Amino acid sequence: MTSDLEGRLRVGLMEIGELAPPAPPVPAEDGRSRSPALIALAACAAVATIAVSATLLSSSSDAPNKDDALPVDAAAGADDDTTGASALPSRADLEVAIEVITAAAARNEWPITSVGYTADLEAGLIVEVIRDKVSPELKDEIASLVEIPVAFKLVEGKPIDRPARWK
Amino acid sequence: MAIVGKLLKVICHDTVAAGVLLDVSIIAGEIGGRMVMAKGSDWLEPFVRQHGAGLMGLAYTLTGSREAAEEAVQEVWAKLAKRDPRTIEQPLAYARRAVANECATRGRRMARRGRRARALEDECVRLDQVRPDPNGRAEILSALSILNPRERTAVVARYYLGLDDVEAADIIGCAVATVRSLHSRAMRKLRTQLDHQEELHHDK
Repeated sequence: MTSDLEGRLRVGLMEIGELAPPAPPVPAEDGRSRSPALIALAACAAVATIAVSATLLSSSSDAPNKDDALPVDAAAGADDDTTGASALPSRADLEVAIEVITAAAARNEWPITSVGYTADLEAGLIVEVIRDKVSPELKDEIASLVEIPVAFKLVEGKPIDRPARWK
Repeated sequence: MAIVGKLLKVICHDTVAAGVLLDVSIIAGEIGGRMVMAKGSDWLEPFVRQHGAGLMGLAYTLTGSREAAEEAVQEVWAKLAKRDPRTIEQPLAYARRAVANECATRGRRMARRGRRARALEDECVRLDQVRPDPNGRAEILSALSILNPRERTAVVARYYLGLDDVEAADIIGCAVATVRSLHSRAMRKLRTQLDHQEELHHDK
């Protein structure tokens, strides 16, 4: 039985791999655009853009109007992106993570009694697991399901009920 | 640097603005310097020619989505481009590990956004139609989706890449014993799932 399945997987996975799309090209910044000429051009473009805004700002006696302020707005947008990348998990992220872990726990019959979070969102998810039934490997597996921090609390109790659709 | 300053004064006709721009030109030079230094990654193009298809196959079997596989591999190229090849002992193993990690991340992201099931369904239809499918590759791709990322990698490492447990452990980033347990758990789940799919097929 096992060898049947192994044989099937070998052939099937090979065929799936063959049907994969072609590999994407090497990113431009590492290939063609790395040429000194293009680097110089990009630097000149950046310099020229700032030159125009700097000249306008320094020569104008009036307060900058909306058009003059455009490059500043663009810079502010870039700042927002940076902030977003390091943002704390939101309540929505945590709710989705709870759903993901709860469903996996029910499907795999993991010894989890509850999944939740506290007012301190930075702490991430708190997963309560049954003290004598959890292994480091299982903790690792649970944590790998979501991209936010997961803290484990060892408790006594009963596992989460399996939802009807998994029974 | 004086020449750059003069040039900038000519460009903006303004000494103050030229002063600001002189700083900018130094930053641009630094950016250019870093990029020129990265030129040592010329090894990447031959590497991609040699191993690109295999790594793409790995990504596709792991994600079950062409789009996610392309994104994952593209991301790995970008990461490899930043690395000095002399610091990577085994570039292929490193790239496989990076692809597996990227695929796991993307798979979770897709699942969170509820896009995974639909992408997988589309892909299974495509696999079923593209050419005769006596080995049930569409069912296999679908069955793989019930595994968690580490179990899936353990199965794909063994049956697609033909790796032993030690090499698979290197890709997954775990102990060899863990690979064995991931593999045996994955096979149990796959057997149940494929049997279930077969029953459904017969009922139809």
